[in-house]
Amino acid sequence: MPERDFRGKTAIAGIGYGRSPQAPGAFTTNSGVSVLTLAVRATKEACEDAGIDPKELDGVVSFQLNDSVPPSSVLTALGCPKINYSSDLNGGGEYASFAIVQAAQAVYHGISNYCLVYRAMNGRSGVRMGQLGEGTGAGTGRVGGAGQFTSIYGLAGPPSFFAFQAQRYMALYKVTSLDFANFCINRRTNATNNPRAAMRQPLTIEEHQSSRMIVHPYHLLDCCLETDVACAMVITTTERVRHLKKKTVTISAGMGASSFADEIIDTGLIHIGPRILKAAGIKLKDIDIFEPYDNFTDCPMRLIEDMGWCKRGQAKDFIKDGRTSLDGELPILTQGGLTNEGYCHGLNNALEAVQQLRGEAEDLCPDWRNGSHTYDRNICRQVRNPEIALHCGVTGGSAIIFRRE
Amino acid sequence: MPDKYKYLLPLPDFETKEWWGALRRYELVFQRCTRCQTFRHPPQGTCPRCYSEDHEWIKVSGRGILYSYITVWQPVLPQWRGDVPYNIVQVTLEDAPNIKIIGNVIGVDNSRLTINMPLVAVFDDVTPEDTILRWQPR
Repeated sequence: MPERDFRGKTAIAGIGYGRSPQAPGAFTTNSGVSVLTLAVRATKEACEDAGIDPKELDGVVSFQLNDSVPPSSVLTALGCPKINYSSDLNGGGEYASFAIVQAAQAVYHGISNYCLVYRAMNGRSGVRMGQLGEGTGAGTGRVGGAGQFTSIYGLAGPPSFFAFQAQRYMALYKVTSLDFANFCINRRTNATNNPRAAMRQPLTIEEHQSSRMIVHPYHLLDCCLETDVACAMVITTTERVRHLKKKTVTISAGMGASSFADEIIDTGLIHIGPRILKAAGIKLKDIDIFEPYDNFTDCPMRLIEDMGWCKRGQAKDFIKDGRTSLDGELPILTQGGLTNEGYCHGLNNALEAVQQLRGEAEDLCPDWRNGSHTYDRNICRQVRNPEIALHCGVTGGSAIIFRRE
Repeated sequence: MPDKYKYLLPLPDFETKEWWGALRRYELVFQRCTRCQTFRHPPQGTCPRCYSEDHEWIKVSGRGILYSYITVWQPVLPQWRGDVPYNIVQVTLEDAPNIKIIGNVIGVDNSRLTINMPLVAVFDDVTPEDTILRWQPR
């Protein structure tokens, strides 16, 4: 079936965060509850946002790295009488866009009427992503599988995996840690008015440069956070969403997930970028906001380049002069990204895109819930009237385009 | 050699034991597809280019080029905590340029590491049963 047939047929019914009185912004370092409870909280909020009874959910998609609960258990916990579609993707950030795409496909093909997408994790107090690849050989002092060629050299944890890409990128294209600092400052500025964000103090170059080294070339402030959190999204047909509470944000196109390039600097957007624009029937300049996966500072910079906004190595200059700020020509990471808001494995950046397109960015404006914004950048982080948003997973492994009707 | 090697050691399996066995003989070998001559690493059952399962183990010169590198300051693995900062490198092989292999460079200050630096394989007998591949400048 041609990809264009899929365009605009499905939409976001509701979005939700796993909030509690102790964690009103959803992101926390110690939730004190189970992952299942976090998932249920986020799903309830997404259904309230949509104005539907959670028992209407009949499909579910999630992704995890053995740090979450089986998707069907969330619908069971909500007492949903039937499960027509259930997908438990084994993987990480490459699925951040694709999980939504898959739910939309289930709805598009009529398998599910209301399909839940969620990611739930006690990512700080429970299983920590930062320890990924530990491979200690169960106390034997020996390690098999992939680890026999990696952990034996002390290689483990996402910062060390990605720092190879960063080092080569910086060396070949004369990108410096000061360029990273500039990117981090821009992104933090967007977080200052985000009540959900863990990191909200304005950032200086000095703070970035003096933050401790994790894995050279990454300083602490180049690394995304580890948080306990759940995010949820409910997908249904565009036709149904038009009759629900919120403004209709549709899914134009989506694809992925994941491929690996010979050149480690290259991201999946080199391949996905042109295809997703074609599938959505838009041009690059039509994209109003970009919410890339920002696990480490160079990653979103390379994603900007590979999508075609500038050439390889030029993101450091592209982001200058406010071009990627909330009032710039291409606002990026409008809520501060995974590095400042918190880490829901990339799904939170997609929820942010939906909030922005609805005109309901959660900020310090008194009436943001009703879509009323001041555009005073001391309190407001709503972009002015965006229509189209691009979101992507880790190193462009998957991508999705959202469009407001 | 220290009395007790404190770092992680490899646990070879049926696909990797040839590779580790060669290191014991101070030889660096890689799987090469007998059908299309494509090298591959880490060892795997099928050729990524033509899918053939036929392969031979080819000895290479041990000359490498530094592809990328990192220095670890905050290790995840506790065994390395006393060694920070330590380097980890990705090396491409002169005889098999499509292969990237992980290792350490020894005998050089971390600040002297540069991309495209010429390296040569070093065979490090870390226990009476284990030889680990490392790299040094050439």
